[in-house]
Amino acid sequence: MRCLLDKVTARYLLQGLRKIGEQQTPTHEEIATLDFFAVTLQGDVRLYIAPPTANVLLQLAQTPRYTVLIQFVLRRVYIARPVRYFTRWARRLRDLGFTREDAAILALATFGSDATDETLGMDYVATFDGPMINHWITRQTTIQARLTAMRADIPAPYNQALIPQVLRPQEIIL
Amino acid sequence: MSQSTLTLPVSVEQIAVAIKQMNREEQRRLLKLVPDLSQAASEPPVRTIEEAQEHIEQLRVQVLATLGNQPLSPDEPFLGGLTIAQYDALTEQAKDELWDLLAGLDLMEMEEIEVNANALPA
Repeated sequence: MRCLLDKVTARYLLQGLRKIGEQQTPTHEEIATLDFFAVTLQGDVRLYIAPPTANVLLQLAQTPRYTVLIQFVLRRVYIARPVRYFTRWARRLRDLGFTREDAAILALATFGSDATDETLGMDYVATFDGPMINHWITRQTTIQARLTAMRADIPAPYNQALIPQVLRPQEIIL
Repeated sequence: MSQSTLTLPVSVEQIAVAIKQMNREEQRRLLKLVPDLSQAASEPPVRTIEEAQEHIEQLRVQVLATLGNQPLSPDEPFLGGLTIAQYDALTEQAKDELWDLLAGLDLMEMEEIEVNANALPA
């Protein structure tokens, strides 16, 4: 099972890890993200982040105090890279009313892969973005129809791409 | 008498792919054939608070180990040249902008790569 963390969820993960390393109490969202992260460590789940998010983590890793902490995270989280047709699908999603940033992360969950290049897309996008979740659910039929139409015009393996479920971390069944 | 165990020739994820490709009528038929699915779907998937606390406690041990068992303090540096305390005082919007600035990369402008011809879809 593959799950892409959007930027804010990845931020909550980092902030939450930092807070428990500081003996501080994480926020509700950070706790939900930490719990999700901990559960994924025990199961057959691969977590992914987008390259811009990875850049932030790598910058923090340059501060010696955080180097090992960031290595701890990056050993457990993969970086999803856009693959062929990512931009085309992101444009389609923008046409359906998603913001530029939302369209990019949602498109990465359909046309994204990791360093092995042997996977295509994600099962889930984990996000706390209520409006994005609602819009995704509301436009589900249209989104599916647009992807089906696009898949008819593109070669394998890209024509096997699927849309992910877009849910809050605590709603993802593991 | 020992109970025989049926081993599925495919993974749950592969079954999910097949179900996702079914039309609504086929999915309804599947629910009639496997009524347990409806019941499982109606059960709350959330983990209990106690489970979450246990998970976070396990993480706390691991995180502290990465920090040499010396907890961080609010005046230590964090992101963007800010201390932890300064960072935490930022609004969500300001944190968002700081992350965008530090990312230094626009996902929409990234070069697309090719995947292996046998890439496994989600």
